[in-house]
Amino acid sequence: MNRLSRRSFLAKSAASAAALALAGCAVTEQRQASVASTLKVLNWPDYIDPDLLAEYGLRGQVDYRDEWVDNVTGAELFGNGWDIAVPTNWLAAQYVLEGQVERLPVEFIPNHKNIDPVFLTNGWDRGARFHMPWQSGITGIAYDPALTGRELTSINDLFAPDLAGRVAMIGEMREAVGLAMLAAGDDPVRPTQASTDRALAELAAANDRGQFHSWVFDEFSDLLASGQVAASMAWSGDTVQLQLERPDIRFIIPDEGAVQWFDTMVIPKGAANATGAAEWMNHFYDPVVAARNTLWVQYISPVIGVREELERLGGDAALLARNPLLFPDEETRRRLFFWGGLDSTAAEQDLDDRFAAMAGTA
Amino acid sequence: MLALVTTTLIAAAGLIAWLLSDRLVGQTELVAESTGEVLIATQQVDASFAEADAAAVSVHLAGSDGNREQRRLYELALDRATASLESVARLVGEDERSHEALRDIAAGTTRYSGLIEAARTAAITGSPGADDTLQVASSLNRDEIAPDVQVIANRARARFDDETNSSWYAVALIVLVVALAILLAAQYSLYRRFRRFVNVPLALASLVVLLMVLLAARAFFAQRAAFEAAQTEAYDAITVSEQVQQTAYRHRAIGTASALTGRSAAVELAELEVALDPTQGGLLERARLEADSDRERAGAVEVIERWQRYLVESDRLQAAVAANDAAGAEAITQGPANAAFNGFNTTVEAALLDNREQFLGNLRQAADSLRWLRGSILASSLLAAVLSWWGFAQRLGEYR
Repeated sequence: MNRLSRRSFLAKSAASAAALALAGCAVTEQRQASVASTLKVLNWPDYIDPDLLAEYGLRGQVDYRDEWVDNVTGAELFGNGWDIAVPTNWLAAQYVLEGQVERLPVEFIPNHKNIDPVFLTNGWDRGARFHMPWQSGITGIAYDPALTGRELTSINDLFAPDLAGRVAMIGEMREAVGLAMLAAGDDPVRPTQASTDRALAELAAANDRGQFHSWVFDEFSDLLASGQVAASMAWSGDTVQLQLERPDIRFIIPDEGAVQWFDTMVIPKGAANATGAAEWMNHFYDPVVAARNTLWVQYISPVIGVREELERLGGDAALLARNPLLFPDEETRRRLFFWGGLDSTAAEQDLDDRFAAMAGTA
Repeated sequence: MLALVTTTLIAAAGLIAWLLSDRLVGQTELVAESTGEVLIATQQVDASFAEADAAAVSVHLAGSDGNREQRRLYELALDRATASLESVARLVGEDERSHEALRDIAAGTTRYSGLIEAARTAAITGSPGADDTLQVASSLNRDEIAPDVQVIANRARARFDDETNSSWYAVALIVLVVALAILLAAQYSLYRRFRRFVNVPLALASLVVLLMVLLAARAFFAQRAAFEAAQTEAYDAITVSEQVQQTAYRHRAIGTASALTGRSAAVELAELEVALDPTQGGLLERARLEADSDRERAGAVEVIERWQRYLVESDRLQAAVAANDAAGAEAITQGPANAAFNGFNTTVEAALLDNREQFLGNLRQAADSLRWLRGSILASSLLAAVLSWWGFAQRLGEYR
């Protein structure tokens, strides 16, 4: 089971869905010689500014679908002629290691140089020869101080007796287990069978004693907004959206650290329009374009220069440029950890299955 | 009598050509599967130790707070070095001098990681001597481990040159040409004695050998071309990129150490910057010129771009050191300078990985171009010998 959406719909939801549909129509109806054939892009829902998509449609024909989830099967991905897919980092790692994605034609992506170095050091693709991150986020803790009655600073606060039954957890294995590993002093970048088993046992014990209100996905923000829970595992981007309505809700990177993830563009093996895919990637790695998209999706941009561009735009954009959830400082960055993956796909799948059975998300 | 001599000579020539080509094929496979891999693995050892050292200094600088990211990079770099050493040990064969160097490196690695841990523990507990211990570890890396790695690299390089410059192919070709000459001479002799212009089996035997000469020449030249490409299109690029990486690691380590000691390193850093400077024909420009495809050129341009970004942070770091701003210097080192350097380093690695794949691919291509040759030479020689015997037998039958 995987997260359902990267962003809360909140106030924008209906409008954005309509706008996206319109943009899709506009895009597919226009063609220009620069892209020879239709570019097929499969992305997460609500992950691109509809205006940007419509503008890109002026460059060539794009079949853009916002239907990606991480349980898209290999057959769906590789059998339907997608030129770009946007799996989460752990899944992209599997694709790369299994040789299921094309090497990026970097000769057509001069803006590859704008990838933030933090995304270049993953062991599965150092230097990002096979992927280009689209957006990134942090899974930390959001809470309502009026309901908790105190400051939260640690992952262990999610397991504290005074919050029993009032904590929502996100049903993403790598993020929940990753946080539990950090609480135990383990490193999610290099998970082992032993450390993940320990973390899962800790989560299961808390689950059994009724510590958690529920296991959810992006509904955590509704639970927090309505006061049904006092604290929750939380995605940074959704929390930024929630804070527009509830500025009193706080988001923290716990002292032990938090799990960072990113959804990343890959070109599935055998894609018909790799050159078009490269053109798309290059376009969205222009800091001006990327800044506009950040303004809309409000997740962490992997593009160098976005912050400066937002500052230049002024107003709300400049405020966003100073938001630590979008632009964490160096001290915070050092406390963010990407899930590194177990030794084998089978071991990871087994962990996935056991987690889903425990959380009831299977 | 002439029939027996001719057939025997053809068969003998075929056998000699087969033995020579077998030796050549074996040697080519050795280059592809062993020597080339050793060369690559040795370079990875070198780069991994340099990376580990730069990261270790950075972790140390973070003091009791630690720096988990750099610590991880240090551990991963050391893991990579160890894995590469295991590859070298597996592939280096009987070369006793290389094994001796490997033993020294293994012992040095144990001492090195022990010293790093001791320095780290001392830094965390605030014990005296932490900085000195770190310096000893770095010296051990630079002055003992690196030279031993170089010994293995030099010996692998010498073996590579030796194995790729074999002239067995020329001898094998000459032997096949001799076989062809024997067949033609036999034809001429029969013509002189029996006044019959064409003997079909002998003509066929000549054609078979001629075809073999042409195919073997083509295969040999393809092998030479693949070796040449491995050398000029990949290995030279690898060598320059490795020099870029080594020089940059040195720059990074000196810069980080200056933040640690509070002493300016501007002069030493400037020398390294000149060595790399793409505008003055430095290593970065050489790496760009070595690129022989649009993809590689794009990679080289990105490396230059990311180096420039790192230099901006390095200059800020030195300015903080010059202003006695220890906290500022540490913040830059741990933060933007680290990030920019990681960006540069991983981009060089990506380029290196491409070149290594190309290098090993070329070597495999060289081996593949000859793989069919052994059997073909033997089979065609035997066929030529049989046809030759048949040709003589036919003529003698007609005569009787």
